[in-house]
Amino acid sequence: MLNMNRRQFISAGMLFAAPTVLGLVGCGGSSSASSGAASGDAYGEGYTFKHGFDQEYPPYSFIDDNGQTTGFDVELAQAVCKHYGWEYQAVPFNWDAKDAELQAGSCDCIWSGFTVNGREDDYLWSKTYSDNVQMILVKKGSEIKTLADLAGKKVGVQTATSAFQMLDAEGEQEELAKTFGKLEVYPDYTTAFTELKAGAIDAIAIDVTAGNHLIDGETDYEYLAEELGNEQYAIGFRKEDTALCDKINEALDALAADGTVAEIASHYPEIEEYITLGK
Amino acid sequence: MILQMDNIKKSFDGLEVLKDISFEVDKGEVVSIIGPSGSGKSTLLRCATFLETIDGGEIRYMGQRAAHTDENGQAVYVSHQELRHFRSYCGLVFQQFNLFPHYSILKNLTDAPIHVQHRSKEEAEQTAMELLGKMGIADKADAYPYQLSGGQQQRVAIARALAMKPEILFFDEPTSALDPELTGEVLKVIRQLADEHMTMVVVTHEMPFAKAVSNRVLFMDGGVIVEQGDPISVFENPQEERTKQFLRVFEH
Amino acid sequence: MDISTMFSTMSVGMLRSFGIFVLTLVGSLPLGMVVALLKKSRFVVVRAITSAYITVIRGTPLMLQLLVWYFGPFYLFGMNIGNWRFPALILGFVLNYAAYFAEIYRGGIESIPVGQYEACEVLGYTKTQTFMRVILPQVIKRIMPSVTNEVITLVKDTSLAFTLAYQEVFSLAKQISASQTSFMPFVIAGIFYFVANYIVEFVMKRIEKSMGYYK
Repeated sequence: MLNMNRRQFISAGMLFAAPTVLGLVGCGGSSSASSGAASGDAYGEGYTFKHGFDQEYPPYSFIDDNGQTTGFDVELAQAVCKHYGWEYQAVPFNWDAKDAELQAGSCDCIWSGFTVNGREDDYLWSKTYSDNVQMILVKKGSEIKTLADLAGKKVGVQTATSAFQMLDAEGEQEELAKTFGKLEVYPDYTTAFTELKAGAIDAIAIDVTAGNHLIDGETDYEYLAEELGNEQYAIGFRKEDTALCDKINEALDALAADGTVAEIASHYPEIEEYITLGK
Repeated sequence: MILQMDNIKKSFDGLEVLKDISFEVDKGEVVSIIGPSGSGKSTLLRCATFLETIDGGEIRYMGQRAAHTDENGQAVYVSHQELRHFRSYCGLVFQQFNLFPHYSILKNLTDAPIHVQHRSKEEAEQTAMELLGKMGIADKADAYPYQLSGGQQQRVAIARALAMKPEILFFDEPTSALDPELTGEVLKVIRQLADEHMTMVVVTHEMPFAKAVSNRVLFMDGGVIVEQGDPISVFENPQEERTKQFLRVFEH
Repeated sequence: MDISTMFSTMSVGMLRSFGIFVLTLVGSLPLGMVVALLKKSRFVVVRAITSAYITVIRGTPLMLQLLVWYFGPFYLFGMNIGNWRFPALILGFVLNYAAYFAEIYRGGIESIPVGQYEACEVLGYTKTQTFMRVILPQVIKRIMPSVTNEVITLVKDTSLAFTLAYQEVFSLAKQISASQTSFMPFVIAGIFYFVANYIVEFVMKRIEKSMGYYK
């Protein structure tokens, strides 16, 4: 419990601190520190591909039972690297700081179950490779049966996720969020799920893929039939990195064609049906 | 002449503490300085030992000039390097002892001789042990200051000053911080040094001691030397009204 | 994931946390002394800059400072910060702790009676000798309890490295907890910090004891 409070505190600090700093120092900065390599030659064999991702986003990117960093996105990125003879470099970052990390050049892309919808103009996007449905997770037998039943209830969500943005101000479901008794924002879904178990909140708004991972092995939880929203995942690049984006798109097509994508997807049954690449 | 101070002026924040004082000490002389608090006794001592800088006047040790007043009326000191040389002529025993608490008694006595005067450890320790023996505290060589009584600590402080082999030793109210029953052992040591013709200047409130030990007594008040002379004449036949007043207080 | 896998995965993070701890102390303990002395400088400008540094560092969260050191070079100068994560982290920690240590040193130095300086002056010690032989040893003894406090805080503060997504024990605990939907990683991290501080306290007590031969 002590840990949890500390984490919540720290996350709150992060939320406050990151934009402040970025805003403060942002005025003096230039727009990008990318190597800005325009020609495809720069991405020849031996290129070090810096895969930026959130290490806390199962099943796309996470630490597996053997303590190894893996996930659908990680495996797919590694397959792309293998395809081109690139060096794969994992750059785990904090989701809150993803834009700064990308712009400052510590990674080549944001590839971590990254939702396109609502961010169409903010990045250079690869082709979409996965659907992402937002759902409401409740305890089995809960009196909540529809989205309308959430009125006056406590709903948990992880900060900076699609579900969060959907419920946040100017989100698609802002009006629905206003009917909630309270929208509790957590640094991660693990904490939110613990609180759902403990009865501290009544429901969790979550991407179905992340939700499936969360309730893996649990039997007492279910989704409402009504969807909260539906979005697509793609890989986000710096806007000027068109050459790199093209290379990745090509590779994704090739890997879809030779069955690699389907093979990787089969490692993650909870999201297999949502993978759209090659279908 | 060991020390010669001429026309010394010193002010603190516009308050004149020493008003044109002239004062000298001959070799082997024991001079006591008495007077009410705030009379400038301690300041005079601190100027003589270079803890305070004078505003005007001249200070000479062994005939060499350490400070003088230039044509603009400003006091000018010799260089830092030379000043260290002048410091080696004088020792000072503080009211609060100011021993080094983290050093053993022996190390308190040998550290400066070894690291300032670059004497050998063996020589410094031999000198230190002789001095401690003389002070009657040779058995405390390995102890630390906090383990000693006030009287013992002050004797260590005297030994520490003597270990530097100064030409002249100053005492700034050496017994004022001590319990009355401990002053005797310190005064006894000073008396012993006087018998050995150590040149000393003692600022003190111990009138009987001043009378018994000194060759000369100075009475200071309001930043000037009001009266000076041999102890008998100053104590028993003071000429100045202020001296008489001051001594009357001590008779009670 | 069984506990032993969890533990061995996190042990890499423990090693990294320990690295932050050691490098921060190695950098900030001496730097703090430099800062403390600069704050007593003869030059007004130097004093003003040092005071401003201490005020800013102590007046802002370490987390925010870490973000500034890491992302600052990019936002201010457009530099690529590809390999800058760890150096920025250590820089942030060292400069932060140096400010706190500087204030502890300053307090310690100022608590030494003026008589100690005067005794040294009369005995002919140089300024350096006075500081190194007489003042500093006494300062160290006096500040040990405060330094112990800071060191214990540092053990726990290493977890702030997660701000820069440096994979130390706390970040790993968060991540493993997310993938395993388990609280166990935090228990392991908690035990790690506790044991580390237990050792710190033990060592510091020994050091304090070794200086207890005088008062």
